[in-house]
Amino acid sequence: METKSLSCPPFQEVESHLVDGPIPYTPPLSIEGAGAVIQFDGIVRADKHEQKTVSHIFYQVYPIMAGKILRQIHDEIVEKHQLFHLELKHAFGTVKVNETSLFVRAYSKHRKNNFAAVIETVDRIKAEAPFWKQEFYSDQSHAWVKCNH
Amino acid sequence: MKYNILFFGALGETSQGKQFTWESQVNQLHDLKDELTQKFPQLAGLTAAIAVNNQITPNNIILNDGDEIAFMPAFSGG
Repeated sequence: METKSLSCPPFQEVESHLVDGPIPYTPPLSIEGAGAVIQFDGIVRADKHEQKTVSHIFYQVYPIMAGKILRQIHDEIVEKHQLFHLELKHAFGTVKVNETSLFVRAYSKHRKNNFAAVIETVDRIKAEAPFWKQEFYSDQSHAWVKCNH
Repeated sequence: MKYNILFFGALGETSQGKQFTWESQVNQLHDLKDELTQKFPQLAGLTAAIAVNNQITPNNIILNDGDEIAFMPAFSGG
């Protein structure tokens, strides 16, 4: 039985919702009629576990399935909450402390449906998208993170 | 039948996960899982979902030669 790495292709297709490494800042778009723009940044924290401090997280992804799921979440949230636009990005690979691993920015006419849209988007990504976190610590050890959403 | 098997998260152990070809006589997903669990006992406790060709499926489906089967622990993105 020959095994091989997952990190070199299967990335056969580039998905617009997947970002290799930390997600860079981009300024909000100017969208006519959008009176509410709400942004969520998921940031890697320097959590401490048994005297060890997180230095970075490696996000493993099942890229083809994640691309499909994120696109489906995007399209359903835009329709359900009547958004003008929704930016949605999830990092894979290495993301250091204080860098962004998840980014959601929603544009709508009013605020209430927009807050709901952002919360639902983040909750659905955590529950439905195939990503796995591996925490790396300052002493070079590492551990897979158990789901706690 | 030949299947393309993927292990993610703690199932694959390393950051890069595990991918391999598995030859088998069985064609039902739950039989294949039982067969693989004999060799990889961690499947029994850690598998939260199985995807066949990128789609999460129930355990009782019939498989086809060449299917890609991903064994996945609970997701932990975000």
